[in-house]
Amino acid sequence: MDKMRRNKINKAYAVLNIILPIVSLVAIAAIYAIISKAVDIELIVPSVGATAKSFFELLGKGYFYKAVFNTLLRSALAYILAFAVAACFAALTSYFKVLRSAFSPIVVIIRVLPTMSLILLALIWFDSFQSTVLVAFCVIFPMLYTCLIDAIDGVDKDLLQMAKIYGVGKGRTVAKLYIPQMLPGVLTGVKSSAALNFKLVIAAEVLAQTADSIGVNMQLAKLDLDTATLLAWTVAAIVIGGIIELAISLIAKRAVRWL
Amino acid sequence: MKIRGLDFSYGDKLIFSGFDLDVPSGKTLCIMGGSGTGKTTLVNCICRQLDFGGDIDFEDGKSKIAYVFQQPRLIPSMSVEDNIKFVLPKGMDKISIANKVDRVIAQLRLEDCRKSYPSKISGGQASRTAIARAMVTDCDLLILDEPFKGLDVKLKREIIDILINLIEGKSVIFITHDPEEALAIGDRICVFERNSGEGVRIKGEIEISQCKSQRDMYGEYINNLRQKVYEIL
Repeated sequence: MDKMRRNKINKAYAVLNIILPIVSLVAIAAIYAIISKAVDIELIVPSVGATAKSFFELLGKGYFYKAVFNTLLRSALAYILAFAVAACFAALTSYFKVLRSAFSPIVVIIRVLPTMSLILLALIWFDSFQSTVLVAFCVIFPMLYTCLIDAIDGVDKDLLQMAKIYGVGKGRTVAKLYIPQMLPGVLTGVKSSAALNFKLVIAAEVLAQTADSIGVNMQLAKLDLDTATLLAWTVAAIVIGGIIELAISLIAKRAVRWL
Repeated sequence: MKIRGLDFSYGDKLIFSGFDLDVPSGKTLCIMGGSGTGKTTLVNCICRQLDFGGDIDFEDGKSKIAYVFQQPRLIPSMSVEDNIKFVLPKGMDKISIANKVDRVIAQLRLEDCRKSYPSKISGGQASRTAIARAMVTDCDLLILDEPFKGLDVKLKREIIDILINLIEGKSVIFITHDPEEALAIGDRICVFERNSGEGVRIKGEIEISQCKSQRDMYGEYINNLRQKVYEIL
């Protein structure tokens, strides 16, 4: 009887987990529609219908996919680069603890560096492609580095001692002990930084006027005073960011199935 | 294994000063004593986890150690079977690994949970997995550091019965606070005491000549030894 009741409650929760996000999306659209109706100037706050029309028109255009592909490529490149460098530095500063204090001012400087100064300096020194990648890299790298350091420090010392006493090799200790133990913390960090990385690349593209990108198309829509198209690009960016987060969540769920 | 002139301190706190101890080959040495009498510190020195003075020499230079800790220390991301395999040396062929793992899993009655993660098994199964991991290694010295801590009496008895058969003929150091565990498993019981001036010394020793598997825990022989143990303690 208890089991049946529990199953019913679990099913109800599963249904609510699907319905509630849809309800909140509808609520956002409804609030936007009310604001749009109240302002009643299409140029400033276009209607939901006009935005939806622009969005579906964009989906039919070849340049939309080219821009999305290019922005995603830049995002992926910046992220992979930031992750690889952060992983190398985290491993190095964990192995040689003395390097950690030497490296900490660099991380602090990169972390507190105003994003706007970074973008402007990058635009002076590099081309628009390199600038967007560099900006995302500089913001994401300290986040990932800190996350990796915390994950390494969080590895259970008792398990490491056990591996050492049993004479388990370093390679196997890293593969079977360090990496799985670090995974939950790292995946949480990746989940929060991946969507931010995508947003940063778009922001940098706007300022760097990077050809064939989501950012430059947003900027062009703004110059044309085509707010509906600007909102359509924004919706596209939100959908892509959401898909990235969802994909990472699904990977995380599969990767840490022992929890 | 012979320990000669062992010196070790935690800062100003003297633990061992010129301490000697023999671990008889193929026998179980039970170490008892109150908290802070250096029992775990001694095994940490034996495992070379601490920097100490003096000599710890293994017979014929063999020093392959297996350690069952107070907590099972299982890797949460690995199944019971993979936790056992984790400590096997690199380069062993798959058939040997499978045979060894199957044997200890059967000996420790872990068949039902061999594919389960540690978070999904009971405390008794976790303790048995930790023992299986130690037994799979063909070690020269087995260290059991209060492996039954936190287990209920029934479960403890069940694991002791399994362990008695498994450790027969092996060199074992067994640390415990419980005289009943020591009398059931040990061949020799050593009671430690420590004072701040001299460090750890052996307060008393008892030899148990009866075979582990044939001990009558309520018989006259064990009852006499029990009395002696309590007198030393």
